[in-house]
Amino acid sequence: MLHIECPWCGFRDDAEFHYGGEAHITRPDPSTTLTDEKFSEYLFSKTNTKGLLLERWCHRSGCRRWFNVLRNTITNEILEVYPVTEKPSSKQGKETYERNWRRKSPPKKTPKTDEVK
Amino acid sequence: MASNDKTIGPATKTSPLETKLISNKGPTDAEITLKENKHIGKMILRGSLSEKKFITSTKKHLSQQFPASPNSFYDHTKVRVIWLGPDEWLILTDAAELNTLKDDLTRALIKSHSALVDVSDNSTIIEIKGRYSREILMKGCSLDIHPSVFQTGCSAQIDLGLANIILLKTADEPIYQIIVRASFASYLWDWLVDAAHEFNVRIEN
Repeated sequence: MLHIECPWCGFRDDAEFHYGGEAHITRPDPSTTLTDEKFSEYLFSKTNTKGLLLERWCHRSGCRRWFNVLRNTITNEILEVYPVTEKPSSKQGKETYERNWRRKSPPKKTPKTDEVK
Repeated sequence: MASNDKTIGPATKTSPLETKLISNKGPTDAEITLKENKHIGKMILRGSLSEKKFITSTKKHLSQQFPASPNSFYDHTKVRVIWLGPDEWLILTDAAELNTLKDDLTRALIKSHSALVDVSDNSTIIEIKGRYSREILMKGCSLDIHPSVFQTGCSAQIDLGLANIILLKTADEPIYQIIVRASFASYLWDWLVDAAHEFNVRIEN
């Protein structure tokens, strides 16, 4: 069983979490130019990564918040946990982010997010 | 937060465990005591901590301890504030006091981007007490609730058996409060009674 560290609740069993697929994938703009092919690519095409993957998880049974995880799909090792609003900060995380063929926009500077005082 | 039977609001008159016909039974020197804490008003408060107006208004009514740190709760006079998320709190108070507090908070938060919802009937509170209470919870809960880790004032949102609960450690003695959704309360009560079966259990009304 995976042991995932929720940014709020700490380490919990994976049975408490909900998997949200690959992170940093932009949903296409539902404007007039959006074709069925384009949307189905967004919806159904998965990278099926063997190795490092940036993915989304939701702590369903706990704080019910979404967060991102850098996971090695071969060893199930979790290398980084970071907020949904941010980009990965570790070296491996940044490399994985750059490598992703589905990412259309260039990586931006990390935006400032609401911090809990 | 003792229950006060004289002035119960219409919303908290019934208990989701009513069909269990809970009455006092079991030895008085039991190692485990199970009971339902009735007539507790509950509210969900949501708001952003980056908003100054929200912080000042809530601090005024819910003490300077607001916001509680993650996975904890605090008591302030007759109110208990439980952290549920970075922008979400559960407020418990006596059912008789609920409307007053609700009005006060609503008035204070009127110009801030926030939400206050009465969820009194959404859940109920089961209290488990006694030297083996941790052993019972351990049967269906994956969290480490050893007193060295899960201390007084700690809370956790977790699955117990098949039900999603909020677990509170309310005192240094082995006493736990379980906040469970009304629709799961009957199942969880049966689960707890079954799990406590091997010990000397007493049920209190």
